[in-house]
Amino acid sequence: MKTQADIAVVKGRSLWSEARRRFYKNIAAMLGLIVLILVSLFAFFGQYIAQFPIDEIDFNVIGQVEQEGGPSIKNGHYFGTDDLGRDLFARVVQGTQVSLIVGFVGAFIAVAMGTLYGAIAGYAGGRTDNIMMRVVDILMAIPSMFVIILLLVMFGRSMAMLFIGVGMLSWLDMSRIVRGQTLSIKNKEYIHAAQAMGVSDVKIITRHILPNLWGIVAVYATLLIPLMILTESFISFIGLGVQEPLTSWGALISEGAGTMQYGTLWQLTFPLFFFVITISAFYFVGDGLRDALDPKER
Amino acid sequence: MLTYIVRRLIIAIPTLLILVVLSFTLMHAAPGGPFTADREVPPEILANLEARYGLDQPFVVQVFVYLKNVVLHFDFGPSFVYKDRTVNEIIANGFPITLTYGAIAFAVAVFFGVALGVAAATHHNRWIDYFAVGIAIGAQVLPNFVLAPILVLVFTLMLGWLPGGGWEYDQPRYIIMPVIALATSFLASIARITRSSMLEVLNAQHVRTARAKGLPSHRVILSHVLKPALLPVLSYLGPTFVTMITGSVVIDMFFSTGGIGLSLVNAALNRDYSVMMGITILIGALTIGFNLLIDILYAWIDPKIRY
Amino acid sequence: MALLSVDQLNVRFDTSDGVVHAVRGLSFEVNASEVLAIVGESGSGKSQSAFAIMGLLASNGNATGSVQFKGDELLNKPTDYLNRIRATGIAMVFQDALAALNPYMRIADQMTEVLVYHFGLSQREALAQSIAMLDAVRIPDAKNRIRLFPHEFSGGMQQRVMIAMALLCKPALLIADEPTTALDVTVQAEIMDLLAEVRREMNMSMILITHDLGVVAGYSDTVMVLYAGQVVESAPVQTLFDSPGHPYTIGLLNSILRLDTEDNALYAIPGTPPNLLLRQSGCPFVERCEFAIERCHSENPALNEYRLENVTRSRACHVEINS
Repeated sequence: MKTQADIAVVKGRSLWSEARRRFYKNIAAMLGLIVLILVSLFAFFGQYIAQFPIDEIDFNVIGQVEQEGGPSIKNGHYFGTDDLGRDLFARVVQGTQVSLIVGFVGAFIAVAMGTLYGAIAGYAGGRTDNIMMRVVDILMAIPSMFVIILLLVMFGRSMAMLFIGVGMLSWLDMSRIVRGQTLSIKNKEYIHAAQAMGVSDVKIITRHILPNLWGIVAVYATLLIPLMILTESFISFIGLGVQEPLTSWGALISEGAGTMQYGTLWQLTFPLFFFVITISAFYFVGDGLRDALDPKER
Repeated sequence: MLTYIVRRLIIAIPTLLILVVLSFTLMHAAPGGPFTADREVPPEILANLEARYGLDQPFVVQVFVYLKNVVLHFDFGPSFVYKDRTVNEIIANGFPITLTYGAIAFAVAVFFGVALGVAAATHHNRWIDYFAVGIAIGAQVLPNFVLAPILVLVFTLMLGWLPGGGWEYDQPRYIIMPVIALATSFLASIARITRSSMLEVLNAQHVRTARAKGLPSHRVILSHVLKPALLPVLSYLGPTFVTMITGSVVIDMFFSTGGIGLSLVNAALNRDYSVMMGITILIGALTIGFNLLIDILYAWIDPKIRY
Repeated sequence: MALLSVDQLNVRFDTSDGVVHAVRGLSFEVNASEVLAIVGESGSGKSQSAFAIMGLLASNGNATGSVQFKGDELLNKPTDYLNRIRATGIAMVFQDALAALNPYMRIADQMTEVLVYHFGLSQREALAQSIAMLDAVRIPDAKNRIRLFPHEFSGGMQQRVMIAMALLCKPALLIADEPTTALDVTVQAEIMDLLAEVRREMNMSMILITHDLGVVAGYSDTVMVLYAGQVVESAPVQTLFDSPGHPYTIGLLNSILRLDTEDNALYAIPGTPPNLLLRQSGCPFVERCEFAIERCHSENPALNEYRLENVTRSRACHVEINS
């Protein structure tokens, strides 16, 4: 059937500039990108605006947080204070930082591991591929969140452990996707040509296969980051994430939810707001990238 | 077909064994774990542990003993923290609760997710489609730990309609919010997957053939579109199952429903390793069993899968 | 009255890159037990014309003009209305039988549902008739093989199943959309012969859509050549082969491999078809035409009917050609 995709405009534009043009035209994705830039600025420069450090207890509001601890420009608590009288603005800035870093580093670990593993399995093919993918099958059937919790409890709740745990959660999917792509690239003629000319396997993987995986990896990486943030928030929400006085969105939401019946609703809404807009922004950007790189999906 | 099932089983069993051995090894390697001396363990529990695991035995023997107890007797051993409780008792206490609201949430997510997705795809670019897409996008950013506080805020604190937590088997109002909080994001994902795969199948050539045969629209959808369109949904159910069980941890914590999720978090905070391992292995076994079921269903539906 | 008459059919697709005019001003008639061949390259609009007639255009496509079957207007009629004519009045055979058959359904179910729905037959009767039809298209062991899934047949057998399915309700008109393109050369002839045979036996009319003029020769009465969504020439089959009247037709005929001449060089028409998004004012073929004159660049020639040696034919060209 003749559909939209069949009738493409034949012009000498490169794949990437074409993709960029489509991405710029996508309003939701561009808005998402702007939100992400603003949130990042907030996370990494907000501490210079905050009037209090994250762990300083303001004794003016303690004991009467509901009356005195609300958001106010006058006393310097822009987002109010938390239940212990600590400045919520400073804490949200810091929590945003942690969540973003975990998101990016976790996604990076997952992407790096998954891409390498998948590319090797797909390129090697045959028996190696079979065994490597069986291993992925087996690991996939293990409830990874529980293993992360096990790891966090056993080896202590450190940021490093969080990165490893969260990253390990998602490289499996990535490796499957990359393997599939690699398999199809591998059978292209220019790879056969390279092999015929005696180019080494390592070089073929790094020179010809990995660069061609860029598009799909970029899309999934963008969609992985919010997943990583969700995972970290989940762990923090149940109280197993970063440790006090450090905080993250999950921990802040958990604290805010725990105190909302006392009328201090701002403690829930501020972290929730940042969480929701950031996750949405990542999804919009990821979807925009996918549409831009693979217009058939529209 | 039978050989296919057997083959899947042959993969499932080692997976489960690996999970058990992995957890046990982790526990063994954990600094400050139950098998190291720097932790003060009440004498009764220590006696229990020694009797149970043969702590003077080599590691391999210990793994084997644990494995034997789990596999043959479905016995996860005593708790490391509570001297008069076994892991089995703790699980038996919470699991039926988790199973009850979990199963309901799963059914709700699948049924309404598929229904919404089908409605959206068959009314492409009409209001119900926009509504479904809107819900799907909105629910992406409303995971259970975000939705649960919002639900309590609205229905308990503001409207006072539903209890903010607790559990009674015979009182449905305790179950409503846990189910909504747990099911919503999956419902949305299932709706999104159903919708996009329906739209794809609706454009497939075999569907054009069915329309050319002059079959009425509902007949075309029922017998030619639905089956292939639901295959991606089916493969999504495996991961859904796992994530839902994981989500039950939040539900148990936030709504004090008393399921195994709460036992897990308590065990994690108390470093009650045997309870954590027991729950992890149980969930792992359920996951593996569920995935096996999905694979069999898939093979049954798709005639092109070679057994 | 003609069995099917198409008048000024236009098909447009709204795409994100603009409007594509897939078919413009198509008019033709098919009489009872006549075979019309529609010939053109891919993208010439031949398949889309067929889909428009059957009401099977993609959702971003829309058609204007008129399509009348036995005097009933079909174009842009609701599905319920069209369903009374689909399969029983006009049936269709598609190009890629494997993709066109439902991979998740046994052949038996795919066939019987047509009879059950249109004629209210019982499952048992429908099955018996389906098996009879498979026998008629010479599928060996039809009684057992009807229980199989499409992918369990070979390519040629899949197309036979497709044809049997289209013939179940004894339609007055069969539209065969590139019925042999996806098949091996040796199987192509078998399928064409089968189509010709069942057409004769059932006294059907047929629209044969193909890109291969070679297929047309033995199996059709009239040929209509489409280029870039327009008819450029239409004539009885023998006339067209003997004295093609349009430069495009000449090019197509030259590019057929002929065993009866000494010249073995295979001819190809230079260039590619125009982009249907960007519509110029002149003749769509002008860029590839060796006869083009100045007028061809500015004015799109209309399809003119004329008589030559007692044969009525038509063509759309400004240039006088003596072939």
